[in-house]
Amino acid sequence: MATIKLDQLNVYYKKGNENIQVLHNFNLSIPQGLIYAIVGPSGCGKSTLLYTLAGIITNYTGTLTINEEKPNPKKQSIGLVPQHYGLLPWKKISSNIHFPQVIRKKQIDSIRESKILEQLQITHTLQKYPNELSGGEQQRVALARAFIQNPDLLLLDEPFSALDALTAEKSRSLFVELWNEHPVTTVLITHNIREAIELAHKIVLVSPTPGTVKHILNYPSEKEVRNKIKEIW
Amino acid sequence: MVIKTIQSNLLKILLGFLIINIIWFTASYFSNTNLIVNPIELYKSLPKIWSQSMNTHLLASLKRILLGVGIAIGIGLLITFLFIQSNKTKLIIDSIVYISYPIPKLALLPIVMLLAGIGETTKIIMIVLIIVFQIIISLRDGVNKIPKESLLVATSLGINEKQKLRHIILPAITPDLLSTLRVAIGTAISVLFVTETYGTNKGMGYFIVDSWMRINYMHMYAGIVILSLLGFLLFIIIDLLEISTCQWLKSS
Repeated sequence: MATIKLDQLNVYYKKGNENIQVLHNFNLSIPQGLIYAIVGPSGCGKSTLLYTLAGIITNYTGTLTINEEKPNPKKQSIGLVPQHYGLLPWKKISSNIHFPQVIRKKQIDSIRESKILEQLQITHTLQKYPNELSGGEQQRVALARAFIQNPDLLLLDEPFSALDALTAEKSRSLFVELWNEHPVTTVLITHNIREAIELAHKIVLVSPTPGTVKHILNYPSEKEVRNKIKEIW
Repeated sequence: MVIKTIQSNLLKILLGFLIINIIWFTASYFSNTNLIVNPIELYKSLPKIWSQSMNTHLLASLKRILLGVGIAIGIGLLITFLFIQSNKTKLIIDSIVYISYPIPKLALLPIVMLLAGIGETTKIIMIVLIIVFQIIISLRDGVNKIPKESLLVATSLGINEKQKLRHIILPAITPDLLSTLRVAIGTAISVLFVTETYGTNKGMGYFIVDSWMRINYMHMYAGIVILSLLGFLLFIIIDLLEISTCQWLKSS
């Protein structure tokens, strides 16, 4: 598991000749084994933050460390679950789930794998292709893929937002069960305040673009979060 | 799923073969000239014509098609690989393809003949020239269709270029490559027919035109049937490749 430190992090992207700032002096420290929810308005750089943590975006200034090292997908094990799950349509579910181990050339822990698959209720999907699965099942496959690799850091980009309310509810409770058994440092991007309160130990409120940390709330009530949001958005 | 697809394709083949032959037979039956030969007579004499010399003509044509298509696929894959390297290479390749695609490649035949002579090289260059652009465009579209989030997940796992090619790029572009090949092979055979009418005494194009000149319509029709069967055989090979590599597209 990982401890994450972000100090004066500034992230830019290029649009033509312009350098557009997405994150501004972003400071955050996430101790290991906790879930931090990042809440902010659309376009405030939440996903950019996630992809910077994943080592995908490297155009930044300031300090960003995972266990005192720069994000490096080749060294650190990062479980990323994007909004639409990022499954490979041409691979069967079993191959999708094993994809991280194949890429990292690591052994598959079959006991851990079968436990997680059972817990997420997707054992029956292994021989199918992603387009044969419901949205909820695809989402759970993406979670399984992330958890089976025993990641140092779990990054969730609005993982329940594409699901209907009932399926999202079920997926969330399965996620909580799974996380309690395999607690891993987690960054959850969401715009759903209730979801953030339900799942996270701390909620980080981010300002509109360029995003910067405005408040870090510890197990807040919904009212408290809404009041703070009114102040900053 | 695979067996079902094969069964349905076989049924299509049989039905198509039957309909075409009925039309052909009807046309020959009501024709007062010998310009349309009777298909039943033709099928009867086909083994004899085949054993005379047609197999060597077919092999010569097949070799040209396979070389032309193979080189075009190789160039297409290489250019696709360059295409994904950076936005600059993307722009350069896009610009070249955009401007050269509409050029009627068959019109370049005299230039190719001047530069490469009238032998084998010209015939293969013409096949490559005509189909390579279709292949590049379809591969480029295949690359553009790769789900962005799948690439993000792969990048977050530290995927290297070789793994990316094997696990992402090649499987993603295979369906587009195969459906383009289906069209490209038909085009390649047509181009081959034209190019085999000069500077050679081997090939199905030569065989058909030579029979025509000698007013040997039975041989001419036999040549057309065999050339069509060659195209059809290549079509079936592509179908089988599609069934074995693109099952994920059929499932839903």
